[in-house]
Amino acid sequence: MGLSVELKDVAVKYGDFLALKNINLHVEAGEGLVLLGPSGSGKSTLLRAVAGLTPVASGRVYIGGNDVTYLPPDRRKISMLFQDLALFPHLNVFENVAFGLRLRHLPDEEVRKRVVWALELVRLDPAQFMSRRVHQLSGGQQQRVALARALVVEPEVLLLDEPFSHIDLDIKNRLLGELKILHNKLGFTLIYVTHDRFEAVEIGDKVALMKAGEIVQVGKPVELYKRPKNRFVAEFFGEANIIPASLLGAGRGGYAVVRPEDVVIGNNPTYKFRGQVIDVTFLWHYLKVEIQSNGHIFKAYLDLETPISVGDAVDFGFDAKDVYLVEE
Amino acid sequence: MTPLRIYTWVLIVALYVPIGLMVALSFNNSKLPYVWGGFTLRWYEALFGWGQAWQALLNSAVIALAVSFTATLLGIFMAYVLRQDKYIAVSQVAVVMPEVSEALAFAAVLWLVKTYAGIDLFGPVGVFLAHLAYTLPMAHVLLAPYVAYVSRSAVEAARILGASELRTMFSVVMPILMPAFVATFLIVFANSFDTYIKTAFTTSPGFVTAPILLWNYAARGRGDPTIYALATFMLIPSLVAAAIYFRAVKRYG
Repeated sequence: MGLSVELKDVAVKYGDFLALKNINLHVEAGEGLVLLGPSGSGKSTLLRAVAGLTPVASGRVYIGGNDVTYLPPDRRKISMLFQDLALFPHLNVFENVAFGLRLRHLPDEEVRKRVVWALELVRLDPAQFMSRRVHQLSGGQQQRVALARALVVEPEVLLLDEPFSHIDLDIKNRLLGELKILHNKLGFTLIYVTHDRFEAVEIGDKVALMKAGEIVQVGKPVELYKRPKNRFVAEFFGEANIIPASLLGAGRGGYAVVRPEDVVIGNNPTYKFRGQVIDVTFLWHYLKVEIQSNGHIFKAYLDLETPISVGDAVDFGFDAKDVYLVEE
Repeated sequence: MTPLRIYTWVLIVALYVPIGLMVALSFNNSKLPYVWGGFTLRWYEALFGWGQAWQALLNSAVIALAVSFTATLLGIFMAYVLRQDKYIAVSQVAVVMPEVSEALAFAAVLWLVKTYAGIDLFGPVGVFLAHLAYTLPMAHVLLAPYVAYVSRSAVEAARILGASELRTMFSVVMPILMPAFVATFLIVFANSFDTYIKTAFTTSPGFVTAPILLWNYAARGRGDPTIYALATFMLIPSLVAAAIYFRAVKRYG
């Protein structure tokens, strides 16, 4: 199960505003892709273009190799989870989930069977929840109903638009974990929109990082992390020290990206600096330390036992292998 | 109490005093409004024997029901279709048009139809159309904010799940809008039930509504307190409508 999704030279306009510029993207069948980016970067628009909710100004959208550019949403074999869930307030849980099945004119017995199946998938006890009204449920339970409603029609592609942005961290993490399990179990292709890089790595086989209507870089999370295309990617996708490359040697242009966990204390690294500790924060499995040096503030993640405190003058640095250079 | 509070209550009392006075006069055992002749039910007895009054009430009620049903239904379609349209004002501005100009314009159209097409619509049909034209923008204005409140994503979710636009309208949008629907229905009903001007311009001598009847008697000073009894009786549908409205508001929060 699961169909590939491909966008070729897709552009979307809102009036005169070019919301998406020349997007090219390929999502393998069954893959989990996260569209990550700051607000206004076009990630939701891209999702809506795949869903067929927002018309494209130019370019083509393919699902399973078929050109669906001008097909209505219900003929694209997709389901979508909305940021505000979009549950139907006048219907109970059963009828919310059954909505898509009823439109397919399935016999009542079959509808019931599938609704029960979907509710069990999302870990809602059908006997307990089926006849509840939507507003009688907690936020997390509503999320589950919305997910069941999307899954019950057995979509080939599941589109999610920041579905977990308004709920508690604990519940969010649990739902993310369950979504991942369902993704593996049912095999649908998944496209997930978020502005949160922690969610992105939790759910994504691949991440497409967007900015101002364009995809800046797409790849596995580790690729974006270790080999960011530019400063924007380095900064948005994880904590980073970004310094002019000229600090590492005369005549070098561009910027050097060094991850905080690669910064070490002592005299051994390739590139050495001396500075003053201005902040030390305990973060459970490491110390987050900020060191001021050469007019820059360096972030370092150090071992919890490191004897260091604010005001210390320290030698620190990083090895050449941990430096990644970007042009801009 | 603050002055503003006193002022507000004085105003509210002032609104109800004339109505209370009219109710009192309908029980007054005297034909002269400024003489209290004691309590009586004779005007109500007269009212019950006054066939013309009952016909007029029935006419008003039938027209008002038909108008409020049609205006609410069409209003909800209008509000849905025009929800993001910049020309929404074209429909809504009709609410503030002078009622008498509208009525005259409508009468002129009916005259044209009668003269050139030979179809005489003066009477129930003319009254119905005139009331509808007058209440439809009202229904639109009342419903528009509620339609905007139905989340765009709920509509889109229905579309993705395979519902046609019409099906989405009937299965998702309308049920969510039920409270607004009830409120609009009642307000349109109240307006149609008691409008005089619209009816006066578009009816025929054979089709008399309650407001027309009241006017005919009251304005020409030939009524006895039976017309107060009729007017008092007409308060009942309004009170029922208000009760339904507040119940609905309470229930749907």
